[in-house]
Amino acid sequence: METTAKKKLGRGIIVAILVIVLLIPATLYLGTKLSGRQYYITSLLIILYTMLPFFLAFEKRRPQARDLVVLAVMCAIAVASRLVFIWAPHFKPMAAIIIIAGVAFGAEAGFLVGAMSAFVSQFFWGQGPWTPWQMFAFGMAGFLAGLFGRLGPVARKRIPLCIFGGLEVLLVVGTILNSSTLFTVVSHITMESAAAIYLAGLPVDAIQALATVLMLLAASGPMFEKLDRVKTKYGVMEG
Amino acid sequence: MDDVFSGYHPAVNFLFFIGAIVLGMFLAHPLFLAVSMTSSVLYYLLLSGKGGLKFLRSMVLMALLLSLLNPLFNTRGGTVLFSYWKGRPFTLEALLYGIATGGVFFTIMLWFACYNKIMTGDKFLYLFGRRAPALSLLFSMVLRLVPNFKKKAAVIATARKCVGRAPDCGSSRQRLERGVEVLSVLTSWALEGAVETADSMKSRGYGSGMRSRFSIYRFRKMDRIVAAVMVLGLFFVLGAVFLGRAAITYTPAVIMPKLDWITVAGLAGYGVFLFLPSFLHIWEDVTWRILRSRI
Repeated sequence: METTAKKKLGRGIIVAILVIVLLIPATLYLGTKLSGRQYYITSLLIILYTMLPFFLAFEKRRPQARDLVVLAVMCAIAVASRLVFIWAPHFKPMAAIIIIAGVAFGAEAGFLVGAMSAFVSQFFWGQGPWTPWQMFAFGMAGFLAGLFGRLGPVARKRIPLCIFGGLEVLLVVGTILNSSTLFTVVSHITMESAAAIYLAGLPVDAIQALATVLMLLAASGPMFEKLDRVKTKYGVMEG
Repeated sequence: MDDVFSGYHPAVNFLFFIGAIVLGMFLAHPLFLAVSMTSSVLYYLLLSGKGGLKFLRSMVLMALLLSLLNPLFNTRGGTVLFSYWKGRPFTLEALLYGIATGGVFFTIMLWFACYNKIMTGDKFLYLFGRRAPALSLLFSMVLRLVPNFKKKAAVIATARKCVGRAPDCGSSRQRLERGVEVLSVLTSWALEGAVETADSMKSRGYGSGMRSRFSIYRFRKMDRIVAAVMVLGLFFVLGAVFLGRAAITYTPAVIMPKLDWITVAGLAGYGVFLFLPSFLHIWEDVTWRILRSRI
C-alpha cells in the first residue's frame, strides 16, 4: 500500500514540475508586460496553476466513497472547529486540524483538506480577493504537514509537531496571506511597503501560530488516535 | 432575498461578477473607477438596506487609510506637497495613485460583498460541478456537514455542561481543554457517521456509473436578454480598454489618454453593464408598487 501511495504522489509531482517549469516563467514574463495590477494577476495565476494538479489528481483517482466522506468530515470539522471556540475571537483552530489531517492521511489529502476547508469557510465568513490565497495557504499547510508526516512516528510526537505547526503557520501561511494583502492594497511595491505589510501582519500571524501550537498540544493525541482507528478498522484513506 | 437579479440564471450572475471584479481590479482610470464605485455602492445598498451602512462606513475608512498610507511608501512624482522626516517628499502624484488604489480596493470589496449575497454555494456547484464530479461532491458534503456539526457541537457542549465541564466557563486553560474535549467527541461521532454514510452511498451504487445531476435552473428568455445586454456593455468597455482609453499612469507624472467619443462609449458600456442588476432591482420595485397601488 505504501508503494501505491508513493506512485500516486509521483505522478502528481511530475505534472506539478511541468507546470512550474513551463507555465510559471511564461506567466512571469507576461506579467512584466502588463502595467498596473500586474502583481495581483500574475501571482493569482501562479497560485491557480499550482493548485490545479492536486485537484486533477484527485478527480483522476475516482475516490472511493469512504475516502470521500472521511475527507469531507475532516474539512467540515476544520471549518466548524472555529465555532467551538467562538468565545475567543482570534482563536482559529482550523490550521491545527488541517495539519493533523495532513500528518495522518498524507500530503495529497492534506492539501485537499486545507484548500477545501479554506474555500468552504469563505462561504460562511465571506469571499474576497483573498479566497484563492487562503485556499493556497491552507492547502500548502496540509501538504507540508503530509510531507512532515513521512518522517514516521517522530512527526506525531507532541513537541516536534508543535514546533513544526507553529513555524509553518508563522512562515508559510502567514507569508502567503500577507503577500495577498500586499498585492491587493499597495499601489507601488517597494522594499519599504513590503516590509510595512509583513511587519503589520506579524502580530496576527503570531497569534495564529500560538493558537495552532496550543491546539496541537491539546488535541493532536486524541485526534490521531481516532483517525488511526478509522484507518485500521475500516481501511479508509490507505490508497 | 428579494433581489430580482439573484433569480436569474447562475451563469448570468457569474458573468456579471467576474466582469465587475476583474474590470474593477484593472481600471484605475478616475472616470471608470467612479462608475464602478457608484454602481457597487448602489447595488450593495439595494441588497442589504440600512444594515449595509456599517460595512460601507468601515470600507470608506479603509479606503481613506490606504489613500493616505500609500504615498508614504511611494516617493515618485514631480509635485511635492510637503516634506517630512529628513526631507522625504509627499507628492501629489503618489497621493492620487494612493486614492486610486483605495478606490479600487473599495469597489472590489463591495462587489465581493454583493457576490456573497448572490452567488450561493448551490449556484457555484451548478456552474462548476460537471467538470469535477468528485470535488463538487466533496464540496457539497462539506457545505452540508458544517451546520450539522455546529448542531452536534452544541449538543455535546450541553451534555458536558451537565457534568460541570461547560466549554465556555472557567479559566482560559480550562476552556481550552474543555473545547478540545468537545472537538474530540465531535470527531468520534462524525467519523462513525462518515463510515455509515459511505456504506450507504456504496450500497446505493456510488461509483458504479455516471453520476446524474438535478438542478432547478433554466435559461429563460429574460436571461438571454440580460446576458446579451451585458455582453454588449462589455464589448464597449473592452473596446475602449484595448484602444488605450482606460489606461492611466500616476507616477512619476499623471498621464491620461485624451477624452474622446471612444472613452465616452467605453464609459457608457461600463455603466450599462454595472448598473444593470441595480436597474432590474429598482424596476421590479417600481412595477410592484404601481401594480399594488392599482388594487
